[in-house]
Amino acid sequence: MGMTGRIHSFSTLTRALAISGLVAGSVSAAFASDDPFVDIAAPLSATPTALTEPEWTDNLLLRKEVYLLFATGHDDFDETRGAMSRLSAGFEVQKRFATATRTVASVDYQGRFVYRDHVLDISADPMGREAAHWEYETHNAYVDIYNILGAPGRVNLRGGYFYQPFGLNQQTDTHGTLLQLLNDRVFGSERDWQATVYGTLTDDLDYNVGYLFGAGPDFDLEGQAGMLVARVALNNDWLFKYGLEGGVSFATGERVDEHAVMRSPSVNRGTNSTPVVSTWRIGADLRQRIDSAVGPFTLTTEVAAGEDESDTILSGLAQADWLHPSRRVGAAAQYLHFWQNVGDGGANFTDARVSGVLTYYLRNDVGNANLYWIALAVERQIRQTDGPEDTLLMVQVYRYW
Amino acid sequence: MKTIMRLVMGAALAALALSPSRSAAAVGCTLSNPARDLKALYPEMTSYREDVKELPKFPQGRELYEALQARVGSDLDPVYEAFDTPYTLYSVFKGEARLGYVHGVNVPGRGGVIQVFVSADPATAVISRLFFQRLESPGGAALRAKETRAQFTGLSLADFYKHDYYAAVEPGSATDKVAQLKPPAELPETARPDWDATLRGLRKNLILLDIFAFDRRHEPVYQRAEEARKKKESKP
Repeated sequence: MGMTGRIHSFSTLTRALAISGLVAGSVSAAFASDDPFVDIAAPLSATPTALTEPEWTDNLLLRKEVYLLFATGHDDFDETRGAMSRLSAGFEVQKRFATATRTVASVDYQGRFVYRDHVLDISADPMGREAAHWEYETHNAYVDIYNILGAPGRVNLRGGYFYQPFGLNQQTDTHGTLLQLLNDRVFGSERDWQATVYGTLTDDLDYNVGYLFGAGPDFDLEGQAGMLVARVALNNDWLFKYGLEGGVSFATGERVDEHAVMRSPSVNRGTNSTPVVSTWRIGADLRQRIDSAVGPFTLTTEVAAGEDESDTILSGLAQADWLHPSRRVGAAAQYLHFWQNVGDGGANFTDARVSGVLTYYLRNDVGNANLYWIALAVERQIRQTDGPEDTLLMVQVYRYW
Repeated sequence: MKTIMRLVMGAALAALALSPSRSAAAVGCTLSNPARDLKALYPEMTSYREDVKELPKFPQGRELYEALQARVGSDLDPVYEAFDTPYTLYSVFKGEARLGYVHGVNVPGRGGVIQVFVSADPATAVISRLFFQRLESPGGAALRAKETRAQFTGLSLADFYKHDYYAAVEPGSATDKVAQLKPPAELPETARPDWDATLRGLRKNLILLDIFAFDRRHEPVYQRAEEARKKKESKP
């Protein structure tokens, strides 16, 4: 316990003693009148507590994470008699820094030790494609510096490794969910090392502008210029008044993506066989929550278009979620589509999947502070240009506390 | 070998996942854009500070949680209102002067989450504004209406504790401010439970605020209300 805690404890004890005396001493007098509260002043004024600097241990939070995922493909199992396993244990540390009157910054780090075996191409584990059996993965590593210019909320700075500010990803906690959003398809990774400036743009809109290294999940520096990204989105008034979120995003520059080069001869030619891909994307997204007596339904869509070198890219996602008012049971369905117009005589690339998830929650904190669920999912790969289509069954146990 | 490794790791992680919680979680009922939301509440604000509050880190935290349940007057929901649920207390400043506290809680409503926030005077602990953030209710628009929320301005936790006495002993008492709160006329019948959940959420919010910011200064009123009610009820 820090000094603040000890002072608080002593103060509470003193107050409790005073309360006992007050109640014992005056209760009989009070009952003499009709109003038993007549001798208790209202409002109960007191001198506001003195301003103090927070202790080092204040606002320091540690969380643990365990993630177990098993998946098997109908055709894959017929051929291999194997099943995918992805087992991880991790942690997250958050610390906020403040003066006596101002929260100035925060840091967040989240990492996992991951074991994978018999990796399958599933949307739930995009980082598994080229992973070794054992990996240490950094999931988040960033610093926020708040209110660096102008009125509070106008200009904030974030630097580190985190979700790209493109689409709904930054305002969605998908770090444990089986259904992921579109960015992994759009950029080859849903996270990047970057520095962004964000804040309030107008009474209705927020903004986010940044520079991304375009380095992918493994922080590959191959001489790429990096990417500029910008997003303008409806602010939280729209979410809380109308259940509506939405925005438009734009990104342009160079990024490292070996998969983008491998799947297209024209991109391979355009990059001179290096993994540095000239890229631009424009995207729009919308999410609508519909409240009902049987729990909220949420409809989500993201679309993005652009080019890798000279190849046209189109991608889209549609998702529907339902959560019981008890927050114990939820269901979701998603359709994801990615299409690339491959030049140089190559076959156009298509990846289309539909997924459904049923989740039972043992813990489901509203702020995602404590999560514990068991999920059952089915993913049907409708069209896969670079491999056989399969139907996959997934079971997940996830705990975060 | 792989199979053995998988089984060993799976068993170890499952054991960890199933073991009791040892440390508290990190994100509570927070404002999604605190700078803008707090500036709207206090236009003269020059800075704000966020402090995470967790009952497990308080001395006698478990007793405080039990006291919270007793003072709320109903069971705490294990999903929405667990012992280790973290909370964020916002302090709003103009220069070195504290203008107010802002604090929010989650409560279960008929259709899902209701996030009830209040801003309170740092000297008197009286509510200056009640507002909702997430409000998953078919009656959301009626509950959010300014005139609905205006009823709560000027109330304090003391009024809720006094209400316990008046409701049991003097129903209809003119001094019972909480009994005078009325749900909006346009609230659909299916959303009526969300009005009750709002009152419960507000009460829970004020009890926690009393613990986190006001050093439990309303305890004499609670004790008095309990004593007085029992005394009246024990009379033939």
